[in-house]
Amino acid sequence: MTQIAQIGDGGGGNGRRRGPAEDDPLGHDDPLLQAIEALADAPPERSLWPGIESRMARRPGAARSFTFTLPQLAMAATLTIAVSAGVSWLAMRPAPATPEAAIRAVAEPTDAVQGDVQRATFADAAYDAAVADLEQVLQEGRDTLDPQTVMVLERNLAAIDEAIRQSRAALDADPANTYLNSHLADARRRKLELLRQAALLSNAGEM
Amino acid sequence: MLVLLGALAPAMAGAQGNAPDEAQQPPIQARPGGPENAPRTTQEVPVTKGTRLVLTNNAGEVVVTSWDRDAVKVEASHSERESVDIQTAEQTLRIRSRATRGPSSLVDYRLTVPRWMPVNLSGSYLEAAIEGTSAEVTVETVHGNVRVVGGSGAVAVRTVMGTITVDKASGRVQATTVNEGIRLTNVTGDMSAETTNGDIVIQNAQTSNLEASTVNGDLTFNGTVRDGGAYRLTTHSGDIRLGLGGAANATVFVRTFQGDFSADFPIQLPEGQSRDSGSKRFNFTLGSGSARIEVQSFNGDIHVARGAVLTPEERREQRRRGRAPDAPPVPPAAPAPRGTPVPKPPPPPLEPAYNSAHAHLGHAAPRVRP
Repeated sequence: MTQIAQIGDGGGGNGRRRGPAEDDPLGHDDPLLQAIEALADAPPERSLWPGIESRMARRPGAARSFTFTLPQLAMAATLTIAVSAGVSWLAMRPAPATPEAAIRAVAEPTDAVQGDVQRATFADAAYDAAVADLEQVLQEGRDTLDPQTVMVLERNLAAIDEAIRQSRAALDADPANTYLNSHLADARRRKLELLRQAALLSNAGEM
Repeated sequence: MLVLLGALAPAMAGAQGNAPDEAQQPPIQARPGGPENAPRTTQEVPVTKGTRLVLTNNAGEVVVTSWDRDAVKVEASHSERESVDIQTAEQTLRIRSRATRGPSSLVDYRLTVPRWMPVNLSGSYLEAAIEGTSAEVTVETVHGNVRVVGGSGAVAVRTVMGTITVDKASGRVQATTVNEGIRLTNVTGDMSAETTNGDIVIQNAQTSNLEASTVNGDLTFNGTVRDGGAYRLTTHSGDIRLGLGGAANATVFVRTFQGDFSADFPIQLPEGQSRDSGSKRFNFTLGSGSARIEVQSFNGDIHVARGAVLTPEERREQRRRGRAPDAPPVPPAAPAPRGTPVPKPPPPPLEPAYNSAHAHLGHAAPRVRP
């Protein structure tokens, strides 16, 4: 130790060792090199490995060290975020709605046995007479009406007549259909009302 | 427009070989000027509460607004051949157009009336817009659109060739036309709407009693369905779109001869009835089923929504933007096997006015000139 201390000091005083020449600071006459060369390479008195090995064997959980590159760490972070977000979404989303139960519709009562049903004939003499009278009034008074009014009235009467015709045809195929019967009745009522309105207009010279 | 129609009427008469009798069929003169011009007659008449306004005008536009004064202000625009006669008798203020010779032709009115004053207008070529009154309104015309905003008690509008629009009325609303559409919005109370050739749109209705029917036209209803209420919508050649407004208790009767049925909630149709073919007559119940709703279309489709359905304007707007008008309807949960398909015949030919009804709906009453 004393020797080393001396070597360390170097006798220079300022910590910088100087050899005989300034350009050879670590020359062969350097005491440090001489001390190193003097050290003998003595083998250990006994093998140390068995002791080391036995101590390692007694620490089975000894941590292994891992090292990651920056891209690996970034990938791991991304994966962690994605998994966390997925778990959060699953936890936060509303419970799946149970499918709404279907409302069961009920067929309207089938109209008895068709053979037992007396089909409404709509052969109403009073109605037919009223229609004929009003049509006559309209015909006679059409000159008192604006031609455009006459045209519109006649077209709308034709539309109602078409509805009546279609309803009758449907009833022929399904005579017991209560809807068709009431629909036909509505159309006939509507025709009568429109004819009445037209007759009033013609009587009043439109108004 | 007036000049055009005025010229058109005799031309049409001539074309049909039915020249109108000049003594009976008054010639409609070109319009001398509208309310935007300086009125020829201006008068203010004090009235007492309970007085009714009765105006008769053969042709022209009548615009009625309201104020809080107990007086009626009459501004009339007309030719020198016309005069305006204003008389008060027996709780009635009568306003009448008179001609110095022959029948009266065209007079445009701008009236300001007390809010409490019932209004009764009539004429042949009368176009009316009434706004702000809280009393009864009655309008009767042949050629002309009618627009009413407000009104309570009884609101009755009848025309032949004109669109009817009623908004924010309460009480009993009756709208009848022949060759145009009807639009009732924000109405509270009983409603009836009838036309032959036109659509009917009822929007944001608060009613317990509704009757709406047309022959060639679609029906749209959005509103509150009240417990115990009665609702009937019928058409021959047209679709029906019914928005139940979240109704909790209703029984819905669906009847069609050869239209399709769809709903935005699952409905299991009875066996033997298919949503897209054949005759259908069934009903289904929501909650206690206390309200009774009948929807009937001979040739058209029927769509029912728990909430609201799109109005024709909204559907057109969606189509314009290139989107499907509606979300695809939810098919019935377990459709019954399809019956024998019935070919759907084409609906009766539509008149030109039918299309114009579509165009008119939703807009302020356009001017109609004979």
